[in-house]
Amino acid sequence: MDKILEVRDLNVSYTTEGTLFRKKEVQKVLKDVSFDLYAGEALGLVGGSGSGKTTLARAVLGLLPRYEGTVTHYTPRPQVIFQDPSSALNPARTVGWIMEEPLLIHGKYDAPERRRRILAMLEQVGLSEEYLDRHPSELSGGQKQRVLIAAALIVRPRLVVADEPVSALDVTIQAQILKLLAEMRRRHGLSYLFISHDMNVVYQLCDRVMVMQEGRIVETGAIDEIFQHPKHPYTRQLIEAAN
Amino acid sequence: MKKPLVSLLLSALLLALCLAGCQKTGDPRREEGVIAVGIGQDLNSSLSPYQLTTAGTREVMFNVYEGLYKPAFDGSLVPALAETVAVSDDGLVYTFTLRGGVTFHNGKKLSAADVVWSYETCRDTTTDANVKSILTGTVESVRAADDRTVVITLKQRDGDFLAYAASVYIVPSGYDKLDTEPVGTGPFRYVSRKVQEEIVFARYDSYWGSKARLKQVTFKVYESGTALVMALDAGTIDMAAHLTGAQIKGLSDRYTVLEGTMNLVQGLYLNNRVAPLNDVRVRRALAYAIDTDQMMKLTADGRGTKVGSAMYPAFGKYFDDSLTDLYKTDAARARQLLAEAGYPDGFDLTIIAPSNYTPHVDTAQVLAEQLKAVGVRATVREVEWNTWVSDIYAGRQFEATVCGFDASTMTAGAMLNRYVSDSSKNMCGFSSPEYDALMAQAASLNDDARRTELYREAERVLAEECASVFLQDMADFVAVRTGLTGYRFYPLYVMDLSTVGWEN
Amino acid sequence: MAKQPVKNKNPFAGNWFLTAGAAITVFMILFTLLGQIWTPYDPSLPDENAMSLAPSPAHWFGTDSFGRDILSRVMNGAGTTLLIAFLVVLIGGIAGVIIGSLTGYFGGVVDEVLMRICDLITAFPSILLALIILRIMEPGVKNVVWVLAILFVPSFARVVRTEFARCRTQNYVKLARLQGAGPFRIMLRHILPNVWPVLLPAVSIGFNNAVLAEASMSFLGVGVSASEVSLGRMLYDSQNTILRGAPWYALTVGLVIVLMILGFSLLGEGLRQRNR
Repeated sequence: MDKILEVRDLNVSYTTEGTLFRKKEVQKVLKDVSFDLYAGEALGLVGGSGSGKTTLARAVLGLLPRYEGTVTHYTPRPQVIFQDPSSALNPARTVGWIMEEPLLIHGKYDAPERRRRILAMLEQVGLSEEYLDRHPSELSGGQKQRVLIAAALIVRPRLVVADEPVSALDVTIQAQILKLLAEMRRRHGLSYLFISHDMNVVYQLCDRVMVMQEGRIVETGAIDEIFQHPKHPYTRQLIEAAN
Repeated sequence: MKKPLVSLLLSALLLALCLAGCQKTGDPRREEGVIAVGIGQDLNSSLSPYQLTTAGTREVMFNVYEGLYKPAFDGSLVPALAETVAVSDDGLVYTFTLRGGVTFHNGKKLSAADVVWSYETCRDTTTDANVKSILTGTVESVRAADDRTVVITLKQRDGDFLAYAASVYIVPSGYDKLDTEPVGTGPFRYVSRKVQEEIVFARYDSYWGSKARLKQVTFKVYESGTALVMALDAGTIDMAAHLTGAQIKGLSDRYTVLEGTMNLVQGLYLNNRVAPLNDVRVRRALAYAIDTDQMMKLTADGRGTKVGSAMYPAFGKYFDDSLTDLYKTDAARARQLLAEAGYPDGFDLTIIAPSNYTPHVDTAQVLAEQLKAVGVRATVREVEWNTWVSDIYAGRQFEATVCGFDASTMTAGAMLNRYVSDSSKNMCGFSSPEYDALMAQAASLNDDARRTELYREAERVLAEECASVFLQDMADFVAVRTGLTGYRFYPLYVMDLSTVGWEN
Repeated sequence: MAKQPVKNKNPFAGNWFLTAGAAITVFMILFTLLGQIWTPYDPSLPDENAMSLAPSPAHWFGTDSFGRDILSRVMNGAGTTLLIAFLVVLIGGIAGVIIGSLTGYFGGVVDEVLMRICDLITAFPSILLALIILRIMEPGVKNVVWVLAILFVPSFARVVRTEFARCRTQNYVKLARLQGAGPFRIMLRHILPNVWPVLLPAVSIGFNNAVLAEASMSFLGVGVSASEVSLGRMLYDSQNTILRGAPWYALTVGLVIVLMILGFSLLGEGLRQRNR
């Protein structure tokens, strides 16, 4: 299988601003993180809040100004699906505009081709053409997340980083979106780096899972293996919390 | 939303307060025999008799300083500090006998040495170019023959010499505080000054001539015409000169309005150096396009005296009223002249007006409209007085400007020298060999009748060559509190307060 | 956050400020536009037979001391005033948007320097600053526009800067960056449309202030020059007559100014309320 992402010895630390009464402090958020991600694979990243999941996602997306270690991409630009769809969609723009903009930035297609692709993608995420002229404020949470997925996938990425993509949604909507994500993965041969605090959600979508605690990956393995034979106490704790 | 409403309310409140403050007061000044006079601008920073650069300063200081002779209200020259003068037959030696018993405001007795010192100081420091050129060019020597006799010798004859002698003010010899504490021999003595606020004169009780009727005069400075008018309405001042037709409209009946003339020539002065104004046909076209009568009606209810050349009527013999209607308003003629000069569709013209002189700005606005009627696209640009002096008068950066020229001495040269080709005062850049020759010839003559004839001839050249469009000697309205009498107009820009007093 | 209007909803419904403001503003603009093509009399031609007439059926607003019809002058002169206000808001607004977006988006040293300059301009009483600058330059429409435009930049820059600083941390901006959009594309296409809702009321208030500023400056004699007719200039011309004989000149001109700023103020207030 082709490797599409390689992370080696990643260390990230934040320095808190010193003030008159507080010394500068250095806080390590990621400690010696290494892993590989292969084509077509869905890799879950599970951990509690403050464990460093989001920092790792940002490192992979290239949004961190400073880090130690290497992050190597073997594919073009990864795309991202954020947790809170309402702040991830430009409130001043329509669905159609939001989906067209990535295509315009890439600048490969002419107007009719762009429209064809937008309509096709819109259909794939389960929205009809009439949504094109809607503003985000006129959409429900699930619809927003669908638009966000469509905007991420319209440029045909190989890797998608999904940062808690369903945690803000109702349980029934969660299931629909997870189903959509699975279907899109199958249809487009995508790889996911899927971040969640919820073992159950990860179980539904991923092949492999990494468990992260205090900036360190404490356990990695195939999803069934981990569920059946968790080795690390923290992993056990997470599985218990999910049940 | 709130701000404008609040400011509207505030201004309404202020207005109400203002009106409440304008209550009628008693007449304490009348009982004390003093008056307050409103003036339109502050005096020069120096009050020295040789630094009186603005007309506004000259007219006030006229009450403090005197020369050997002084102008009377009828335009003639009368002996002042000199009792008599004897002129030699060749017109070159003037022997002045000083009046006895004259004292300066500081108590010092007048002597011939003071006169000599004053002439020397004036020659070295005066800012008046006409006076300076006489004292350095024409005067050979000034000496004291004895304590009461001064002999002035000239290099060449000058029929106007006594007029210049009237403008060289006499001060105590060696006195070095003229700038701030002026001392003269006039009917009023200087008391105090608050810059940009007021200046106070008191009657000089040891004056040699008939003493002033008023005990004290306070000149109050109002930097805008509106403020001056409001002070009149409020009764803060008893007198104000140089008011316009609009300003005296609706003035309260506590004032009597006297009408005289400003003693200047208001004109649309044209820069003869720049195209298309360097073409006499274009200048004449402008003159034909302008309707001075209508302008005077609109700006001053028709008051003022039309002039046709650079001379105003108070000069008497020098004034030629046949030139007044040389260019009778004729739009067709104006268009025809423009076409002949190559401007059938007119041209753009910027008329500059000094913004602090409302009458000039008003005149400029009316003229601009009249010129538009013959196709000259005229616009008015206002400039600050200081800018006008530096850029227009001195810098000559203009096409046309409306302003007034007055005379610092009662001589024809004071009005006419500025059109001689090489004169430093030649703002308009007028250049005519014929004019230069007439002026040179006139200055060299001693025969008054012949001189007058030549000057009038020169004025005709100015008018025919249309050096500029000469408009009028403006009406000068003086508002005086009813009961205040004795104000007299001079043919010069002066404000003589020695004859003014409260009626009993 | 500024909500977008729900589609097809009448923006005037229930918004009294917006309705009244729009009505007055539209009326004043029509009044002014008409004055540029037709007036009852020639607004600048003096008439020595009609000097200082009180309001009458022939001259609704009376005439001035040159016999010029005041209604005609007001109709025509309002054009100059509106043109000045329009240019001031346009130039000041464009410069303000450029400065505000750069400083808000990039922050850092540029932000510090530009905003301190803006503070400096704002800290100075604006009319005083305008007076000083116009004493150095000379009166006239062009210079009034430049001076006021400079003075108006900070107010726009500040509004825009705040919005840009807020928007740049939003996820949709991060997303755009991940999609490969450059900073200028993000500023122009992604953030700017989110700034309109707060910029529009600022523009309306700016119009209001520009009309007032032109009036004050011309009234103080440093505004437009004598042959340019503007509302402020007319107020200046009328000051001698306010308390003596011809109060209608100042009153009618004042009325038109009040209507104009009332319209803009209400419009601005209405737009702000709509955003809430």
